[in-house]
Amino acid sequence: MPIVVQGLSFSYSKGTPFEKRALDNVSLTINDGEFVGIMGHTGSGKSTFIQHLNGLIKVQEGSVEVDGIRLTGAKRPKPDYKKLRATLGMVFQYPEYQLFDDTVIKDVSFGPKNMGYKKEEAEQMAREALTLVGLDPDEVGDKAPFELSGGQKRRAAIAGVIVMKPKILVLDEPTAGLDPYGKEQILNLILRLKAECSPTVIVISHDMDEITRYASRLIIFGEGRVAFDMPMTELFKHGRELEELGLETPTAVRMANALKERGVDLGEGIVNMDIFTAAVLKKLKERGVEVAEFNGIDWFGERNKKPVSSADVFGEGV
Amino acid sequence: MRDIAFGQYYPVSSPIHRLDPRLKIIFTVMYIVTMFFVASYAGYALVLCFLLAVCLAAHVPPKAMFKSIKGIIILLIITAILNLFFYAGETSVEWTWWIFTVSPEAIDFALKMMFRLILLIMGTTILTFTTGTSELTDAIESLFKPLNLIKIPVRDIALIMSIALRFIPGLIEETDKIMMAQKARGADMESGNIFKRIKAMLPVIIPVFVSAFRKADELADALDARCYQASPKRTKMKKMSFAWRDLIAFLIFAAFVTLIFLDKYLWGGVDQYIVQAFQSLAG
Repeated sequence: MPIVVQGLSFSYSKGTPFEKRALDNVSLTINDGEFVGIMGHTGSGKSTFIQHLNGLIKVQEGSVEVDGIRLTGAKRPKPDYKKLRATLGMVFQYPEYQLFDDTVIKDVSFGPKNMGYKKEEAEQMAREALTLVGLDPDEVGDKAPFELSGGQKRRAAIAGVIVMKPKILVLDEPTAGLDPYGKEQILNLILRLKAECSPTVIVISHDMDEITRYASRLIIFGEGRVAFDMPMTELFKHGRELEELGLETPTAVRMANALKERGVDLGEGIVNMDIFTAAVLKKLKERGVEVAEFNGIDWFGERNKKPVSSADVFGEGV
Repeated sequence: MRDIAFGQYYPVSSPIHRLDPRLKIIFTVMYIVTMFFVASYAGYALVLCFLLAVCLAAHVPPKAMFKSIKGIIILLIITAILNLFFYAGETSVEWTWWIFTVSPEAIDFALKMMFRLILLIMGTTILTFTTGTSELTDAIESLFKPLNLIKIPVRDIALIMSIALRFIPGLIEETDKIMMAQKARGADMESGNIFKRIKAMLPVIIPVFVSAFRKADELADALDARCYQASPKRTKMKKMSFAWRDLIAFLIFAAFVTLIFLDKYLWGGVDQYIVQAFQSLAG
């Protein structure tokens, strides 16, 4: 079932001199199977918004409905938070900071144990989740979280969220603080999670080039409101307004625009580098230049090197 | 976590905010001492009126001041009960039921003790409401300067204090975040008995400690990298100096303290006179 948000408003420290309006009458619907990118400048309300989705922030005004569970400002009926949190998994920024237990397997099974699963069941689920994020449960399971490398820690923390097989996965800047290769791997991991366990994915990001490669829909927040929620090709015609919100159009769009000014029209629908490259190659072909077949950009030269399977995606490089 | 009233600075402009922070600290210490000399209910009423007046002058809603009591409510109840049943002084009448013994003097004592605690907290809260943390540490550094003579590194201590105070908002934010992250994984921190709740806090406390150590480490490195030393002579961006309003504030405060002391030592508690006055009115 979709996520339906209606007239959601929120202020921090309500009723004190510190009162700060974070959300202002936000309404939107996110359908099953979407890969939604949420963008916005610092303080635009995007984090506050996603924290509403699984009831971490109590609704002040308006309503949120996630998979049939309704959250409103009213005290009763009390929503089933446990079910909600098993349905909607939330990965916070720098999730590795939330690791606390003495072994990785125990930490990952924290969620299922809270949901009432027995120890053995929870550990079995944890092993599956670790495999899914590309960690070997036999190898890292009994290690302390602090012994892992940075990228491994992040994957372990993500495992701690997806272990409950949430239908909806929400991630707040999942690639923050990683190098380009690590970013690529985390984003590929998210795509795989979307295919294998969580069909709906919502990602907060601040990198236009990155998010346009993955997301099927972009929602732009500005000053607590939904500033833009439209197809990407339409959205990037509003370059000036995006700039006012502190955002840039993707490099591909800017390059296509620059080419257009110089008399080369690549046509509509260019949102990322893959589409841009394909369009340029097509244009060259039209003009009689011989070009090789193009299947998307192989950023790290590894497409032909490794088979893409659940267990063996990650090298030690992250 | 964001709504902790005690120790929160109220960023408004008022005559009380502009007072010299050193003077405010001295006032607070004197106020605490004075509270132990209040002899009568009329005296407590006077203190309350004084606090309310200061509160209004500081443009801080009195509601915020009363909210600060919330944190010590359990302490208040326990002290009141203990004082009520274990009063050791002279008693005129005693009412006994099973193992409990209560006397009018015990009630009197327990009530006064409770008022004293409440007013102590409310009074000290005004200091933190009206004085920013950097002002506070600067003032403390300035007040303890004489200790330099006996080789106590006042500057270093002041630096440690200001760093500790600066860390608090960050740590609260961090705690908030980690709490949310663990709640999102189904952690239940709001139900169950006290032991269950303490155990449920572990997944929050451990990451917060780890992050506090990490932050302290990073800050130490940053200070080292800039060759920072607390000890050499430093200039201040904001110099503190006494002004006319400080003198006026001092006179008002002195009058208040004098009244309290007169009540104790000269009049011996004005309550009896008030009671007498009422009795003569009635009779």
